[in-house]
Amino acid sequence: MVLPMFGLFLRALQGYVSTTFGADPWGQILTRAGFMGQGFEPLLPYDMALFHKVLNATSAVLERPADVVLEDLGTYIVTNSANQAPRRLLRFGGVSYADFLLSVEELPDRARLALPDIQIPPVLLEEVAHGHFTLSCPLAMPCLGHVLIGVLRAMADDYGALVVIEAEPLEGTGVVLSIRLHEADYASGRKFVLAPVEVAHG
Amino acid sequence: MAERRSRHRRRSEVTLRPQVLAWLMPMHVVLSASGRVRQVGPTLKRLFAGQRLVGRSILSLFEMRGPTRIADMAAFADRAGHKLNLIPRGEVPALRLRGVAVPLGRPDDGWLLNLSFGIDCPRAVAMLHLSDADFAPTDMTMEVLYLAEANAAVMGEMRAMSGRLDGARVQAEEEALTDPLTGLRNRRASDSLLARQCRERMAFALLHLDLDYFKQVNDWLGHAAGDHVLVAVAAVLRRVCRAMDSLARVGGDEFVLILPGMTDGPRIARIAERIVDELKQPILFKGEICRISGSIGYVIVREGEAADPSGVLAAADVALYAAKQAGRGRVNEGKALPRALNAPARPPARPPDGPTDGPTDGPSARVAVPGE
Repeated sequence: MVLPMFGLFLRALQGYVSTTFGADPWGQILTRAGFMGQGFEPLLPYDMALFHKVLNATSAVLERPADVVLEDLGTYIVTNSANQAPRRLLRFGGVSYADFLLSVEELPDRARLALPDIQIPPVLLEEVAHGHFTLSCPLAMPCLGHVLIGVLRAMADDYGALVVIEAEPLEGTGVVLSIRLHEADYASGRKFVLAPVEVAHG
Repeated sequence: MAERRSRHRRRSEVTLRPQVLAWLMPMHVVLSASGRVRQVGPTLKRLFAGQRLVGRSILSLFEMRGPTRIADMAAFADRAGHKLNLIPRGEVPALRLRGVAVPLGRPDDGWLLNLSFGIDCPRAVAMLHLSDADFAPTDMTMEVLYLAEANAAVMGEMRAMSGRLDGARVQAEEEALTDPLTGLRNRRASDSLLARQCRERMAFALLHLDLDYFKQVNDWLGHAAGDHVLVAVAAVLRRVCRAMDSLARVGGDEFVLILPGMTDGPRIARIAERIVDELKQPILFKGEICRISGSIGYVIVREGEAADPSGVLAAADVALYAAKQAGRGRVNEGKALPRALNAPARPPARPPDGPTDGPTDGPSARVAVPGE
């Protein structure tokens, strides 16, 4: 299955590994995964099988479970200071973390506005009790759930919200996350101004 | 009858409290019939920060067009229900706004003018430091901003990718034109430059260098020694020639040098002789002394001369062969390009001024140099 989404993930993984651990481990990972090129292009589609090969190689070279790698990858996507676009685009989801969670349902459509050929599986959010949400992606590969956990945790830090996020065990495919929002204003969070920095100075 | 119609009209009217109007239309202005401001939405107030707006004439706040200039309230009334373009007057950010005015009830009840930043919204957000609380919940501004930023991010990635691909292309081209052992150009690069020189009828000299005794070095001391010698030869060529000259290794121990703009015969002869002299110097490889020499045949092509690449190469070849025949470690000039060389068919059967015992059948005879 060749999907544009994997280009974004592979490029993010490349950025995460090479900035956090250095160029050598990344080279070892590519060799181990049997990939001949220097790296990945974020806007080119790649095969899912290649993504899993690179993921398993990363897990082996860094000596940490694949789930942990994926979660760290999700955090890196939001917190990477060299590329603030993902964090900023996610912050457009709302003024509070609860608003942001609601906007996650729109994420596949929002992604499609920017990249028309991207295929992101549908996401559903349900508030099962006050401050307790379940987020489900019935069609997603389980590995996407771990990336999402990393993203949602990093965004909670960004908003200054105190949350507990766990993956609910599932049979077969699909991802269900349980999100408990304990305090919306736990910490001050990071500032978000609508105007991108370049325009503000213009 | 008239009274019933009036009551019916009143029942269908909607009354909005100012706060509700401000929330739904944060950029509205309620005007009196004479065009005086009675009420202003909170986001519009930010545009005129610090100014008192109530009581002022809308015509003094904005320059309005729709599409002709609106100079008075009669023209304003004529444009009711149609799109207006507005530019704020005075010491405020020069943003272009879009608006529409509708009458409130009877003509003397005044007007409701609703504005938006339209296509200027990204600039407005930056200049006025707006947040999403400054827009109505149904407003698409957030989506426009999101899209503008997402587009910029995608465009940035595209540009970065083009840069990476271009770098890879340049490197691949460089590799395709370079001899990996010596770092000199390869036959493809040399042929391409020669073809261009001929096509543009530019002046140049072409030197064909063939090493003598190279095969012996390879056979007696091994390929590593041979490679070492070739690298040393490349160093000699770089030392003697100019940076603008094209130095190519076109075969095992064959080199073609193209010297653009060089037509000074004695100078070219000196360059060739210096190369041959330097090649006679012994080259040390792992304690063993490698001795080679080189023979050079060269051709001068003058500006405007109609030469074709294979003819030029053949003439240099013939001159080289003559040099070899005259004894190794020599230089020989193919003095002029014979007319026949302009025809791409076959090189001359005999060098124009070479020794009489030269090759009789074109350039292929050159490889049959005895002992090589």
